[in-house]
Amino acid sequence: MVVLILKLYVVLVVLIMGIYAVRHYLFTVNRLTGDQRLFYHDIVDDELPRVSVLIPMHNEERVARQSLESLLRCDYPRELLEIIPIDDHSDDGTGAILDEMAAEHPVIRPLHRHEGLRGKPAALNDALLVAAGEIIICFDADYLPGQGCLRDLSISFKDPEVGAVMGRVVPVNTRSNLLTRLLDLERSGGYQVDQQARHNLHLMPQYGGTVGGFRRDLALSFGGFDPRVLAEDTDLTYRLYIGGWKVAYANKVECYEEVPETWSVRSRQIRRWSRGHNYTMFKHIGALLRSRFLSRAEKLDGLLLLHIYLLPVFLFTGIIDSVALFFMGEMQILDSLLVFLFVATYSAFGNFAPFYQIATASLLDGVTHRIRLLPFLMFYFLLNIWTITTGFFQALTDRFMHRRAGWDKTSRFRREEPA
Amino acid sequence: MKDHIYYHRAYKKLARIQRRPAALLFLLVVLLDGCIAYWHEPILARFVGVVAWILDWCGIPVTVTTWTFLPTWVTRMPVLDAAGGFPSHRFALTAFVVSVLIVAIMPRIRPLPKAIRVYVVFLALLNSVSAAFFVVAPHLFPYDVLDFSLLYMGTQFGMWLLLPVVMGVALAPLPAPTAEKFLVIVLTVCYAALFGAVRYASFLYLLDATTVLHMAAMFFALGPLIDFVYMVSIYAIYVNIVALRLGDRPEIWRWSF
Repeated sequence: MVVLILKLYVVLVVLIMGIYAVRHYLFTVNRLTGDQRLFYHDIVDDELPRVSVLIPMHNEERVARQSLESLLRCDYPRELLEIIPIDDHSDDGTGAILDEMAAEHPVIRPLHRHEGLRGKPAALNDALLVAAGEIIICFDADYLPGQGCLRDLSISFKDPEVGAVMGRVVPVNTRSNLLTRLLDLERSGGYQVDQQARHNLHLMPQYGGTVGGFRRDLALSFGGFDPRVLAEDTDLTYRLYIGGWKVAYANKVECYEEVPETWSVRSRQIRRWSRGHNYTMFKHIGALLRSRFLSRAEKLDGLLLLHIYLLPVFLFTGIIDSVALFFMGEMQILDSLLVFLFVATYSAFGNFAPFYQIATASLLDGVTHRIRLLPFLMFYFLLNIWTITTGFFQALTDRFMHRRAGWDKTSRFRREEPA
Repeated sequence: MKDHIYYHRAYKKLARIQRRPAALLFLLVVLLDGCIAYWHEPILARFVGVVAWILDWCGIPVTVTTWTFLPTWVTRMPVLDAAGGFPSHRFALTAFVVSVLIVAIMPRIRPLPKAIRVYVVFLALLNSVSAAFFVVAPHLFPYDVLDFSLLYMGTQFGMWLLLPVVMGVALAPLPAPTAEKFLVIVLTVCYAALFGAVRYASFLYLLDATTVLHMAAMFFALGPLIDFVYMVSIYAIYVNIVALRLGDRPEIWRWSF
């Protein structure tokens, strides 16, 4: 009986991986050869909405000034813009930098927080109360938006169905080392193919919490962000879709970010994402299936997206299962299945995107030699399995033991002024 | 002033996949798989013969045994059998202690990338479980070299059938001639055979030199997972070539629809 259960579990894991492999293949073919759905950036309108840009910052003295300078170079009308950098319990020079820049530029209105909960959702909640803009656009502290970024993002809200918008994230420190190059490949696959294909197919592109915006009144009507959630972006995405709103994806609105340069920092970042995303999964899965505003295709895509951080957990347990079967002497019958398990594993979750999706994205981006790094994603995949699995169990504990997750800030590596 | 301003990458795309070349590629893949399946006996015999020759050259005595699978279409599979070292209690205990020490120490070796540490810990964990097996109940260990050979050959053969399918599906949407794509698939299968032979010989050599205790670590860490590393490597090199070629042919790109 035990052996049968173990074998059935291997079959289940293989099936799940197969479903994701097919899903990502469809995305790849759609993005490479299908009709592309344009974003709203060709709309020319002088009635732009009032925008508040929120940038949560905790000990960001390395990057704060450059981010704000990039935002100041944006071509958005000054009378319709306010920039609210949120000094969230910083104990370095971040607060002083913000005050200094605010003194020079009245459009910058810093919010200093030294009481209450620390973390992005709590910081955003405080800022939402003081923000004057009808549209909120968020950036992480290390982001360097281009000149037209704010205008392009905010114009999408001319569509009354759009509740949130998401731009494309492009790493700026790609050449630092192997990890940053791999992360560049991952980002490319995730945005150039995955997000755009979901936008093309009227599925569920995701609001990613940065280089993106949402309607302020909508966020307030939800009661703000849940401070227990580490993935406030996924949380908002699902709240919006379940409530009948859409998320627009703007592939042309590119914004540079700094990706982690060490494996340990990346590991902590991805564990936090896993913890937050899986917590959101527990929170929204029922409502997603019951929502009367979503089509069947949207529900299916939403369900698969909601479980994306559960895949490594399935893989991890699948590998343990296979090892157990090996030592029980039951591997012989399962050898071909095991092969397929690994095929599907690598194809569907060599990363957050399978190898063919990343290669296609690189091709579209005009990248050439970096594509040869694809096999190195195996190391990344091993790291993902471990860190995401631990993040899942943390989320499980958070959800059912009512434990509050602490916010783990991503370390910055910036050394010089970007060109 | 520029003569041409090309499309922004945001909505760049290729023309729709043409049905005929795609169908031809899949037909060729099916034919290739069909050939491997139909001539599996001589192919496997040649493969095992090469591995036996390598091992003979290394001074490891092996015998060729033909296994008969009644319920499947793979009716006869030649595999290699060798003596293989059986671990003593002391060796198993030492292997267990060393593996547990690696599991304990590895996470603390910060200069090594975490991904490498995770991989080494995975290997050491497998080895420690295997060693514990030989410490506690050596007579219950379910594999000898012949069983391992069967598992390896079954996996290897499955891989030869799967690689063309996975490569075919991955290569199909790329803007390149069908014949060239098929050549890449054939090269991948040839490489798989070559790599598989060297790996099989290495496994049997190591099992003879170090005992069957390391069987699990060998299979899980260096088995089918590694096959996909070279498959993705070959795919990546080919896509790189296609990408460089497309750089000289900007007219191939379309925009939006």
